[in-house]
Amino acid sequence: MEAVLGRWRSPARVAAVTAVLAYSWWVTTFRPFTWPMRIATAIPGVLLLLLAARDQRRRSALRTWVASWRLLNGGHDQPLPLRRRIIWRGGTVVWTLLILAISAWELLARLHTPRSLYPTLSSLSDSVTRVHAVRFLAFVLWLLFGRDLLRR
Amino acid sequence: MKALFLIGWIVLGLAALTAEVVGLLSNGRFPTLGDVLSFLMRSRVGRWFVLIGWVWLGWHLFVRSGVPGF
Repeated sequence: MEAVLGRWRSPARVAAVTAVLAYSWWVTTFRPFTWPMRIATAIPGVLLLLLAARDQRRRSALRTWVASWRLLNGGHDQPLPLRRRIIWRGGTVVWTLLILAISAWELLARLHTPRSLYPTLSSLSDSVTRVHAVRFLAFVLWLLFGRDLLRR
Repeated sequence: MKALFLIGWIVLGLAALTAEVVGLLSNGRFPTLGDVLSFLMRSRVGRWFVLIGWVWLGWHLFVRSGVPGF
């Protein structure tokens, strides 16, 4: 608790959070399909990719990664018992299939028109993000998600 | 056709929600989406795949989505 409060006492951190919130509010005043919106959304995207490119932490090559999936340890130091390993590995397969199914459904909808008959994720979200405050919240959550990914 | 696509989205959304809840309640036995992303990001290719997916998500939601007259 003290550590959390201590972090918030830092003026630099407060300034950074305020700047991000102000930027998010400003960005979400732009209309979709316009250049200001494209540029303002691209800026955090490019920034995150640049920061990711500078990340010096070691990452395994694809072959090593596939091998580590076979010896899955679920983030623990020691490999898991066989039963737990099977369940964990099955879970990764379930999530992979779900992500593929969502991507395929999105692609299928995008290849057809009109959008009113073939809704995509963005057209479904339109009814919610019509309100500026919700759009702002969604933008902030997207940025937080990006920051979380950068730390992984 | 609209009903079919909407049902598809609801089924996929509920399936993802169920998998996430099972993961959260399983005490680490079944992976959450976060666990899978962390595992995926251990590799260089997986890391870039996830990060570009994040950029695409933002672009799709905030730039390419539109409400006529918005």
